[in-house]
Amino acid sequence: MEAGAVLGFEPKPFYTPTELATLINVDPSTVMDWIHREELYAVKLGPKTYRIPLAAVVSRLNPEAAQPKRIEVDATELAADEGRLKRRSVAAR
Amino acid sequence: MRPGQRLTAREFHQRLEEIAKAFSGRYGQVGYGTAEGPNGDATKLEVHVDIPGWGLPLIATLVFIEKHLWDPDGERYAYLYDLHLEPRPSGRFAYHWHNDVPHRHCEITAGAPDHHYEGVFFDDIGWAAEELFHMAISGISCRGLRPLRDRPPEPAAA
Repeated sequence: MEAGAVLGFEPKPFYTPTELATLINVDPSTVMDWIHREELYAVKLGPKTYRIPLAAVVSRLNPEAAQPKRIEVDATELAADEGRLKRRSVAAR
Repeated sequence: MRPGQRLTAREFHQRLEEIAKAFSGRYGQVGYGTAEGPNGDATKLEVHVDIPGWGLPLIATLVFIEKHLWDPDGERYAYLYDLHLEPRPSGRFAYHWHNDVPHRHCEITAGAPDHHYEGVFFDDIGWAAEELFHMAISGISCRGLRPLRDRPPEPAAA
């Protein structure tokens, strides 16, 4: 699902606290409170500089859309790993 | 987590859920899954994080792989935590521990010679994720890393 549909506004990779506050119509101090209470993840780039990733915004505003999804994982190299384990085991005897 | 500790199927599943949850809502869009070798002696759990995700152009991709391998001597454990700046090849930073050698990879531009560096064993995946995510935002630097003398062979996929 695309972020625009999830959030209802034009998405960006990262937001400043002020940008996010404007988008969701709250005071910037509210966004900073969320960050300080660890209710909203933000990357601290400097003493007073934060960037909020899109993932954190999605998680805050639409938690269902932020849930991790199951994916297919390639098992090809695991057969080779098992072959190496077997050779190692035989060599140890 | 340390070598020699064999996880039950339930513990392995819990580990996967724990990692996927640790990443969700923080760095990007998260996908996760597991795979097992044909004999059941090798299991891999994998978490992919697309930054930023949700259909926007990719800035970076994080791939986290843990492998658990069992032989008569006990469990062997390996991890590969890789950051790739997008579009590839734009740079890579990684924490690896395979073939019993913990090390780091650092490439500001792809194909640079000697990109294996000394590293230490760690078991805090949250710390690794945080470090790699900062690099996704602010760029990769190889400054201060010490080249690794004996390079471990690369795994088939990372």
